[in-house]
Amino acid sequence: MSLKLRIYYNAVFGAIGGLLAWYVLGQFGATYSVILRDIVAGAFVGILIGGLMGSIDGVFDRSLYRAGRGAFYGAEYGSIGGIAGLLIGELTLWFMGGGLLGRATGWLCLGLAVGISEGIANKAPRKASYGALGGSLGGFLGGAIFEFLRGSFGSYALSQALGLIILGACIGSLVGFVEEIFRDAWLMVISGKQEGKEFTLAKNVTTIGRDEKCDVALYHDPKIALQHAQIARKGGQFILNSVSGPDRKVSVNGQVVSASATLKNNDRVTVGY
Amino acid sequence: MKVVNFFRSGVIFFAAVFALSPIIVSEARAQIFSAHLSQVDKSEFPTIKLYLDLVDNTNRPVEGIAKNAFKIFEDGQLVEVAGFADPSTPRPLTTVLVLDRSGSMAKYGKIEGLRTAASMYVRSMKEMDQTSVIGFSDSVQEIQPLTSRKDLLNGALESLSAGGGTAFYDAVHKAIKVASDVKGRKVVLAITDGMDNKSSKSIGKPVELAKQYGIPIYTIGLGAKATGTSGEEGIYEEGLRNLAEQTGGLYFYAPSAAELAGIYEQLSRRFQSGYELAYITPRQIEDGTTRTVSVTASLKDNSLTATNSYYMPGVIVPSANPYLFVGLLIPLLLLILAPTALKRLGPIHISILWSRITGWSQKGKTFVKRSRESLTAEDALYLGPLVSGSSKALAVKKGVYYIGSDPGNNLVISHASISPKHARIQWEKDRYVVHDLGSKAGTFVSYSGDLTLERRIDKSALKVGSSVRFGEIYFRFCEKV
Repeated sequence: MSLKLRIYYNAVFGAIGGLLAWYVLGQFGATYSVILRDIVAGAFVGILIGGLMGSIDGVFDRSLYRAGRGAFYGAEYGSIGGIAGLLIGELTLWFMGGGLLGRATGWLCLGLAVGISEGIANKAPRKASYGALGGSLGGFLGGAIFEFLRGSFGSYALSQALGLIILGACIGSLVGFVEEIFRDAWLMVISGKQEGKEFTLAKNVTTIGRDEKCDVALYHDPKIALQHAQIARKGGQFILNSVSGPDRKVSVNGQVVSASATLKNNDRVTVGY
Repeated sequence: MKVVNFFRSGVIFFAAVFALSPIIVSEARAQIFSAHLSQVDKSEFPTIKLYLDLVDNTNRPVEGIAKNAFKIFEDGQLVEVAGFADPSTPRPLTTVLVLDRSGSMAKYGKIEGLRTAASMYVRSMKEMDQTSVIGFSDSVQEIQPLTSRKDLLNGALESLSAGGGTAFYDAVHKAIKVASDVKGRKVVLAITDGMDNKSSKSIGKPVELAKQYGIPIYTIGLGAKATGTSGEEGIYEEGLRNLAEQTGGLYFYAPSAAELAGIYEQLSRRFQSGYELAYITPRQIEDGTTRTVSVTASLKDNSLTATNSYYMPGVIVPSANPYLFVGLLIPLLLLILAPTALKRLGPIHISILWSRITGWSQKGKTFVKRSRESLTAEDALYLGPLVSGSSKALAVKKGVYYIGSDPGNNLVISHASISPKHARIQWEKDRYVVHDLGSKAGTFVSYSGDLTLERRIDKSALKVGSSVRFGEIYFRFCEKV
């Protein structure tokens, strides 16, 4: 899955998460205290947007384990972020006394917190800053649209549903989009099952292997070891380290790597041959 | 935060000036009335209670106006008057007296004048009323918590002595907290003779808190006025006026202690003879909005309008509609399937699909309208020459094509590096795939088309732009030769 397609699916899954959050939240009614309402709403928005976005990779690689793990981490961190963000957003909205800008800023807090959580869920600090920016933009836009529709049509249902869909879609797509703008290094699969898929090297150590827990998880190829190789980021350089073992051959541009090699742009890394 | 604060103060200031200034109407016999909506009580939401003061030109309360003379509007929408109590109905009043006991109050008999005025206020309290006394100088002291006992209140007033600085905003903030949990009509009545120089809070804090609880702050400035320069003695009138106007209160100026008794008496009468109106808000959901409330009172042939507002929190508003849910979910689920569905239409991608539908295609950076005839011809992909000199090309549609030196192949290439049966290109489910058929010199592909990434393959998918090399003969997989 290329990053462009990834951005697309992020947006769609985020939007579905937003819509589900709206629907589930609606089942609780609106008559209990605002604080409790914010806690419930923040949790559901975080769990559903975070969970769905977290599951994308696994769903498309048909890996139940990876989908479940991604969804769990996404939901866990998302719910914490959602609750904190919504309570801060509530204070902000109150402080600004309502209004379009107030609503947009209130939702910005929610989006910011959920966006950061998605980065933390990926255990990639660099992604947290992408998430923060994407989430802020998404929250601001979603909140503005909610308030605009609420003011124009007086309907809470349509405006709230569309607002949350847009919040989810924006968090999803912008997390991906910002990642594309700011990412400085990534691997693209040239041949194999996942041909065309791109893996951003966002962590300090990126692991490559057949194991579903690897960052670059290359399934279904028995020639690839569970833990095959890793790429370490050191001061702007990316160093490929082989993990010793007869079944773990790695080569860069056809040259077998015995211990480690510094990667350059357009280098071709081969594992499992 | 600064920007927000500035923005907010600006909005509140203009809203307050616009909304809270009593509209003054002169009657036929030159009688001037004014209406003032001092408090919007949302503690029993969705029932909203309003406290409305009607006074004449001598600040005397106007009594005896009937329920049907009042109309209530929320955000411009007329609502039914659900509850009404005129000034003769007894109801409790909660007052927090905030009293200045800074050093400067010792001069010109100010503290004595204040004591007299405040004890007059206490004397006029009804049995169900309760009052608290808060004193401030360098710090804030709650001298007497809320009580209905006049002896305790008088004792607290007796104990007032002057000395120290002026922590006015802190004292007002404390006063609002004292009144916050009490139901019914409540007011903070705060006096100072100097500029705030000891508070830890800025003016914005008590204003926010007062607006949150819907408590009006009535302010009194006593003695000399300052122009606003710091370190100067005297009251900062603009601050006192803002504090009052932003919270639904009023500002009064007393040049000397002699005027204080009159002001406290007038306010006591005013607080005890207001009208209480109630309505049920048409927007019964807490939805994070400020709602503007205005009351119109029709008096003989004039009408007076007073406006105030209240805020209901709720940054997210739960709402349910199963049809809307399904209606929105279906298109989103279709969006998940869309890329796969588009891919199934061929390896030609969206831009070609687009050009098939519209007849427009992109050449470089410009769009070109294609003729109807060439449209069908371009349905095929080509295995076209990559370098000039090799002029062979093969049109490929969804099927199986053989490449080799034998005459039976679809594409016959006579070259030393080409085996008799060299390779095969075929449509597989959703893409074109090239298979090497055990050729001697091999088949090489760069999926992206970048020749530096070219590699020998047994089998490889192709897309538009991929390079394919049979032995030493290069080809490009392309839309058009």
